[in-house]
Parts: sequence; structure tokens; C-alpha cells
Amino acid sequence: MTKSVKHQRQQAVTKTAAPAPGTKGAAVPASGRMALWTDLLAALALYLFFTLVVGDLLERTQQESFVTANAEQMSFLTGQAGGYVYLAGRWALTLCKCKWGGGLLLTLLLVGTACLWRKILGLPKALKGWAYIVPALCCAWLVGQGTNLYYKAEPSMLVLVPMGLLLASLVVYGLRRCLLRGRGDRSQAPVGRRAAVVALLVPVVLAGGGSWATLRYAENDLVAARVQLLCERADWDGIIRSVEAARRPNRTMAAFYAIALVQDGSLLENCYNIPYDYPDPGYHKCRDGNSEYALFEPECNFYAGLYNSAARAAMERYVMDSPNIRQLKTMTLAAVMNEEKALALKYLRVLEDVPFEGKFVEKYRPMALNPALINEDPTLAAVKRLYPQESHFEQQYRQPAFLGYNVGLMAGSDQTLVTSIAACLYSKDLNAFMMRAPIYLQKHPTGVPATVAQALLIASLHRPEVEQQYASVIQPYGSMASAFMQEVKPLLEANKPAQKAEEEQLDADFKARKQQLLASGDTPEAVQEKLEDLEKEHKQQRIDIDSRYKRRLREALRENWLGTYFYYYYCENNELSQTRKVESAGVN
Amino acid sequence: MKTKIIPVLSLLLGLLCASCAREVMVPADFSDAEEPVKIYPDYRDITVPPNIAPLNVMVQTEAAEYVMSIEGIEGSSLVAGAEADGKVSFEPEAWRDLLEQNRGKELRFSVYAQGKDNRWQRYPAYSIRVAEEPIDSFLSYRLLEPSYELYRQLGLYQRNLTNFDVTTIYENNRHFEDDNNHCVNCHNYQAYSTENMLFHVRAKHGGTVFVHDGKARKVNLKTDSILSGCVYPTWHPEKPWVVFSSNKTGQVFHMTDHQKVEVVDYGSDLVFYDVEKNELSNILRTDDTMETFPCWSPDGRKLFYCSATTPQFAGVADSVATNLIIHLYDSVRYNLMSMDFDPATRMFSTPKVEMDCAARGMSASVPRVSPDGRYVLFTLGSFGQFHIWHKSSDLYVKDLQTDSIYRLDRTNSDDVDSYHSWSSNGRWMVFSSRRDDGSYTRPYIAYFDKQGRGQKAFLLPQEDPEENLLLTKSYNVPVLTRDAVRTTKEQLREVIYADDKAEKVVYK
Repeated sequence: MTKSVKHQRQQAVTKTAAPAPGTKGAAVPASGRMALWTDLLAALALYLFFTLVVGDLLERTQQESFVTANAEQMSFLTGQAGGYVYLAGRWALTLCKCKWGGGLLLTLLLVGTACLWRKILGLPKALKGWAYIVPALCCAWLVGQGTNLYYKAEPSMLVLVPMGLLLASLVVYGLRRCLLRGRGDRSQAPVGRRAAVVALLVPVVLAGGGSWATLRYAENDLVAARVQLLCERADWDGIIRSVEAARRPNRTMAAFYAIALVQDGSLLENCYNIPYDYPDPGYHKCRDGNSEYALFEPECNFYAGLYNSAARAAMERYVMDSPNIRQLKTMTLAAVMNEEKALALKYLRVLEDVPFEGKFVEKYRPMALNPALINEDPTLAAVKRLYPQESHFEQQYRQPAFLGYNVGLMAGSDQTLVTSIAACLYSKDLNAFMMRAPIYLQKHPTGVPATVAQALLIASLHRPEVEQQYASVIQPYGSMASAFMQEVKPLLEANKPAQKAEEEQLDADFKARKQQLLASGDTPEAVQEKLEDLEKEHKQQRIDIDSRYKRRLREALRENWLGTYFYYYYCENNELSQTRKVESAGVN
Repeated sequence: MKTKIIPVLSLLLGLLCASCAREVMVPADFSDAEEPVKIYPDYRDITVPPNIAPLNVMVQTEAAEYVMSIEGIEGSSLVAGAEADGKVSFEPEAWRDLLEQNRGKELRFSVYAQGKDNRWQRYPAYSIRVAEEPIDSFLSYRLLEPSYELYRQLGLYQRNLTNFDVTTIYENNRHFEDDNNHCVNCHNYQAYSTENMLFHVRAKHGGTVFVHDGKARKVNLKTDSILSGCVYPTWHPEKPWVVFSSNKTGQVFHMTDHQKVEVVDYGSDLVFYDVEKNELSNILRTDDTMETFPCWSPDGRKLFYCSATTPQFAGVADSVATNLIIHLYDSVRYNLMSMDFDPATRMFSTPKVEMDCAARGMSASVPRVSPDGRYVLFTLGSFGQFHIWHKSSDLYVKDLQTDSIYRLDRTNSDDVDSYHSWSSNGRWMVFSSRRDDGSYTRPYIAYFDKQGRGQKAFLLPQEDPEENLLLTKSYNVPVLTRDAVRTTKEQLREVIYADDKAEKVVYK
């Protein structure tokens, strides 16, 4: 049978088709056109999803990659099992440097996948929309990964998974064709109009629902990615707006928020405008304890004027996560600021070979060659003003460096006085704060930020002389403090006995289980091991109880008191689970 | 039919290749430039071994095309060209022949560059001298990022200096694995041979790997009877004995100093290990003195090392000492010391001061004795012992015949020069230098002439001359050997991962 004859016959079948059993409404006459519309609509929905909803995640993931045409430089990757696949993925990932390019790539891959799945499932063309469930699952995977797409992970998976899905679909389709040999082809089968419309809406609903769910449930992943990109663009307003709009910012967002406020010059005024009630980010765990820090420590150190610490933190990540653009850029900036010309030029040379990084190289090469140009860049000039005036070791301060240095510094500029006070307030170290407050108040006799005044008021509760000394600063906040206490007191009184009772019950259970274990007759080694597990479990349960009650208090007071230092000092950043543990590996 | 196709295809392929390959010729028509041409690496006015791999360079003076010609004696010459990237690669065989023909003589390098106006310019020529004496063929080193605490994809490698071949001696995990994460360091060989060698494994699968008489084994050298773990090693030149320093080491990070890291010891002794008997004993166990960086003389009858007097640490708990050293680090100075050794009794004499560095406000580190036993090559810095992070670190020599001590002015740079070693014929030194960018160490090779003078050092040549610029890892502890390591990386991995088979050292 010739192709044209077959085509005519198919058309004839379509024209005379009656509604299929179980379908309502009239048959869809032009199912091919319907499929085209489905694809166009789905492509548009997917493209909007990949650009407007998760676009920042794509761009951020690309920045955690590194790829050049130099085989020697890529040997760290190609030497691994499957290294060349990752290499191919990284080249494809370069399109994500711009979300519009990355979005297009992912859209095409997923539309292609849906086309294959329609054929695999043998769906009539008019019902093609249902085939978009498979791409939707891929999108769900992407959103589910969130920050883990690029954090301590192979970034190329972002494109390799959709590529792999397309390839796998192709294989399944090929197998189906071989096995069924044309049987089960229902592409031209009649479909009711309603069923067709429903199918047409499937990708739209999936995209709409998916976008809503992503914005709702993956908000922190999206905003954390965005603020890091905005930081490179020095869009401080953008960072502030993004973080303040988030419901429950995580530590990364808070860190970039602080960087933006420092650059914006409103650190003390605005730093408590967001809740410091960090959720568990669910990131990949690694040897460095609280795993979030690697996402912002290099940048925070850098924007605190600690170039050496920034370079060190970036280098540690460069080692552990393999070469990546983000850390290379931080190391470059640190070298530029340190006036390490040869080193900065080396990093810039490496970046020069990375696709689409020419703009960065163009911007900073002149500064590497002529450090005087640093002063002409408002961001770097502001960073320079924070450069330490005392020459110590990082170990002489608490970790992380950007915080510990600011809490511990004994000599600095006017700019570091502000960051130092902010660090003391964030750390709730009112003794250190009180060493700095007089100098600050002397330099700023009027317009004292509310946070500073409120911190003085809290300090005066333990030191009556503070109240006398700074009466004019504290007094305007006296009634506010009373109101806060009046609201807190009944909550504390209600919570305390309940918490105590819960803890007592937990302790009693623990004791009983311990006794039971000791009397179990197991070998001493086995008992010891089980005891350790039990103690660990008990400790965690106590932390959980403590966290729960603190959270209740926070939630009850947030609406009225968020933005005040009272609220932060008594209610936030105070869970036992939020302390950082760092494991070092020793001298190399 | 098939038999006809193959020759035709071959002919076509040959013609294609021939049309692509351009013959490089020295331009006949050119003008002379006054400014010297910029080349990377700087290979001007150096002395090179006759068996060194081609010194490929990158011409950095901007042009559209380059031609480089080398002229030796009696008309021997070599010409190579480069496109706009300026990378000039010499044909290895022709290079080898040229060097062989010109042993003990000079080679003259001329660079021609074609500008955008199609006119050629010739830059002032420069020379290199080809030494009579070859360098040992193999260079072992560790490659790692100049990071301070963490490690992944870190390894020991070996470069054949007569060409560009690199083999992996051992590399840890390419992917981070918490259960298998380990570092390797302090590779050391007996008398320039790989027959007997060792290196340490730290963190997971920790121990010291010895290859002795062709057999690899892992030993746990930790024992309560010595100060701490065994660190810097030196193989006795003839016997299966190794002297280690045992160090309590920490590191701190400068907030503002460009030197960035300070690796500090707050305790160190010397210990003696018998490889065959697996026995370890203390040589010097001192509370108020730190001894480190041991090195045997080539006859095995003297041990050189460095020592600092630190009465502040005597009887002090580690927690106090670690805090103390942060404040004292720049006042701790090491002297160059030696002790005589009697192989029959295995007894060491009382220590002798070879150079009172502290009195001069200096601090010595890494003594290495020349194979003829005449010179001690060491580094002097302002303080401390981990000079690889001290910009003040320079190479010095003590002439044991004349007792004179002098700086190798032509060899040193303004930045770090340390972790040196000799070639087996004593005419070559290789060392780590941060002179390129202040951060990444690169192996530099320098000629040490018969008068005890060090010549200008040159960067380890690479096939792609830009590799030294693009690589974001440091070359660490470069060591020359006459032969290649014979134990395979797979064999070493097997030994390292077999924790249950690790031997426990016996303290005696």
C-alpha cells in the first residue's frame, strides 16, 4: 500500500467516526490539530514554568557547574565512572546560564517525551494532554530536588534526567513498535469533545497546579537560589524584597538578606524584619556538620571584608564539590580585593574558558590589573571598608568567621562598628554589644535604630546602670517592652508546666527503658551500644520538646512583635537543634 | 574490490593530512623588534638537562602567527610554529636530538611574530645552556588544591621528565565518601630508587604504606610510647630503617596576611623505625625542644634535622599548647642540627648545631644532603618550620667542607621556595615554588654547578605550556627518582583499604 492511499484511508476513517462508547458529546473531527494545540499549550505552560517559576533554580544550578573544552581541566569529571555523560550534561547545562535558554531546552525535551508517551500509551491524538503526566513527574522531581539539584550534587543531573527520560521513552517506544508492529495504534480513534477538552486542559492544569505547589512548598529553594544570583548582580533591593516576602526564610536567605542590608546601609534598622525561625532545609548532609553553611559562608565572609576567609571557605567547597563557577568567582573576587594580581588573573583565565562567563572576566580583569579601580565599584568599595584592621587568625574568633570576627573584633572602622553591633545582637551577646554601644551612640547621638535601643533596654534588665546612662534612648521603648512582657508572660506561664510535665514523662520513660536494657542479659558491648542509642534518642526527644514549645511561643507572638529585637531576643534563633557542628579533617 | 578501496582511502587521507599540516619556516623577510618577546614559562637564560622533555612555551606578545627557531652548534636547529594562541610545541624526537647534539653547549632561541599587517618581526634572541649531566627521569609529587582542611580527589603522581607521561601512583576517592575519605602525604624513597618507598594515609584507612622489596604493606605506627603520629620521613640510604619526626601539628588561618595559613607544631621528636622488624623507638624525646624534618647523609652515618627550643611548652597540656602557639608562632625558630650515627650499634651522638639560625633571627627547615655528602640544601625563613606557606622562605646551602652558608640567589624568588630535593647525580635540584601566583606551588628545576652555585630555576615543562596556568592544584613535595614506581595504584588501594591486615608497630 502506498503512503498516500494509507493516508486517504485514515482520513476517511476519521471523517466517518462515531463517538466512542463511553464518551460524551460529539467526536473531535481534527484530532491532529488538537494534538498540535495541546503541544503548543503544554510547551507554553512548561516554558513559563521553567522560566518564571523555577528559572532561578536553573541559573543557580548552572553556576555550580564547571565546563571547558580543555580535556585536562575536565579530567576531574571524565575520570569518574560515567564522566563523559556528566560532561555532555554539563555542556547542555550551560544553556541554563540564562533561564530563557535553559527553559527552552527543558521544554523541548519534555514535549518530546510527551509525544513519545502518547505513542507508547497508544492514546488518540486528541487525548495527548494525558501524556504530559510523564513530563509533569519529571518537573515534580526537579522541584522535589530543589537546592539539592546543585548542592553537593552533580549539577548536570538537571538536564541529564530529562534527557535520560526522553531517551528511555524512545527506547520504550521502539520496543513497543517492534513488539506490536502497528497493532494498538489508536491515534486516530474517535474521541468525544469533552474528553478532548479535558485532555487539552491536563497540561495547563498540571503546569498551573505545579507552579502553585512549587511557589508554595518550594518557596525557600527558589528564593535561596534567586538571592544568590541577585547578589552577583548587586541587586540588593531585589534580595531584600525577595526575603521579606518569604514566609519562613531559611539560613541561606537570611545570610544574603544580611549581605544586602549591609550594602544597603540599613542593617541595624531592618535586620529583624524577617523571622529567624530556620526550617530544616533538608539539604544533602556532608562531613561539615550543619550542611547549610557552605551555601553562603564564602559570600558572607567576602561581603564582611574577610577576603582570606572567603577564599578559604570557597576553596574548601571547590575541593569537596569539585571545580565550580561560583567558588571560582568568589576566589577571584577575594584575590582581586587582596590585590593578588597574578592569582586573580589565573582564576580569570580559567573562567575565560567557561562558556558565558566573559562578562565577569571583562568586569574584574581591569581591577585585577589596577586595584585602584576597586574604589570605583560601589559594591567592592563598600566591602573594602569592612576589611579588618586587626591581624589575627580565624581561630581567634568564633566560627563562622563573618559572625565570629564581627563579635570579637576590638578595632575597626565606622562600617565595622555597625556590622559588629549587628553580629553581637544576632548572637545575643549583650556583653559584647555593650562594649560597642557607647561608641556607636557617641557617633550617632540621634536616630538610634530601634533594635539598638531595644537591645539596650534588654541589657538594662541585668545592668541597672545602663538604664540611667541611656535613659533617653531606652525610654521611648519602655511601654513597648511592657506590652511585650504582658503578652509573653501568660504564654510562658501556660507553656512552662506543660513542657515540664512532658519532659518529666520523657525522663521517666528513659529511665525505665534504661533499667530494662541493663537487666536484659545482653553482652556488655551490646548493652553499651544500645545505651548510647537510647541516650541519643532521649537527647533528641528533649530537643524536640524544647523546640515545639519555643515554636508555639514564636507563633503566638509573631504577628504583633516581628521586627522588634524583643521578639528576636526572646523567641527566635534559640532552638538547641540550630547550633553548628564543624568537623575538620586536619592539616594537608 | 575491498583491497582497492583501502589504499585509495589511505591516499585521500594522506593528502588531506598533508594539506592540513603546514610546513613551518623561518620568515625570510622581517624587521627586528627592540623589546624582548613575552614568553610563558620564562625559559630564558636557564640551564637544562640534556634529557628534559621539550620546553614548549606560550608566546604572550600578541600576534597572528609565530615561528620559533632554535639554533645549536654546527647548524643543528629546530623550528616550530604557533597560531594566534602563541602555543609553540616542539617535535619531541627532534628536540631530543637537538639537546643530545648540544650537550654542554648553548642553544639560541629566536621568536618571529607576524602582526595583523602580515609583516614579520624578530624579537631579541635568548639562550639556554644544555648541561652535560642528565636529570633523574622520574618526578613524584602530590597534587592537591591549596586548601587547608578537606580533601577529595587527591593523589600521588609520577611524571616522566623525558617526555610528558604522567602516571598515578595512588589517588584517593574521586567522589566524596565519608567512610573512605583519606589523605595521602609524605611520599619518600630510599636512595633515589622506588624499590623501597613509603607514604602516609590519614583519616579513614589511616596508616603508613611501605613498599619494601617489592611488597606493599600498611603499618599502624601509632603507639602511646612516642609523642604523636609519625610524620616527616627519611629512609636510611642503605638499610631498611626510617627516621621519622613525630609531630603535634595544628594550623591556623590568617585573616589578612597573604601567607594565609600557618602550620604550627607544638611538640615534635625524632623516632627510629626498623622496616623489617616493624619496631619503633624514640631517638630524641624532649619536652622543651622540638625536632623535626630529619634527613640522612648519603653515607648513612649522620642525621640532619631542625630543632627549636621551646621551654614554654614543657609539661604543658595540649589544649594550653595549641593556644600558646597561636601567640608564639612567629618567635619559634629552628636551628640546623646533626647527629652522628653508628649503624653497628644504632646509636646517635649528642646533637651538634650546624647553623644557629635563631641567633640570626632566622629559622631552618627541610635539610637535604647532596648525594656527594658535601652540601646541605635547606630553607631559611623568618620563623617556624612550615616554610611552604612563608614568603620569606629561600633556599640556602651549607658547604660541609668549608662550613660556609649562603643563599642560592639565582635560584630563589621573592615568593615561597621550599620542599626541595636533589637528583641522584647532585647536579639538579627540584623544589616547590609559589613564584607564579603566590598561591599554587609548581615544581621548579635548577642546575647546581660544581662550584656549589644554583642556577636560574625553570618551571616543569608541560605538553600544553598553559597547563601550569590553568591547573588549580598545587604540586607538593616534588621528589626525583631514577626509576618509576612499580607497585600499581590498584595494589596500593588494596593494601590501604585492608584495615584488618594493617600491621601494628612494636615499640622497643
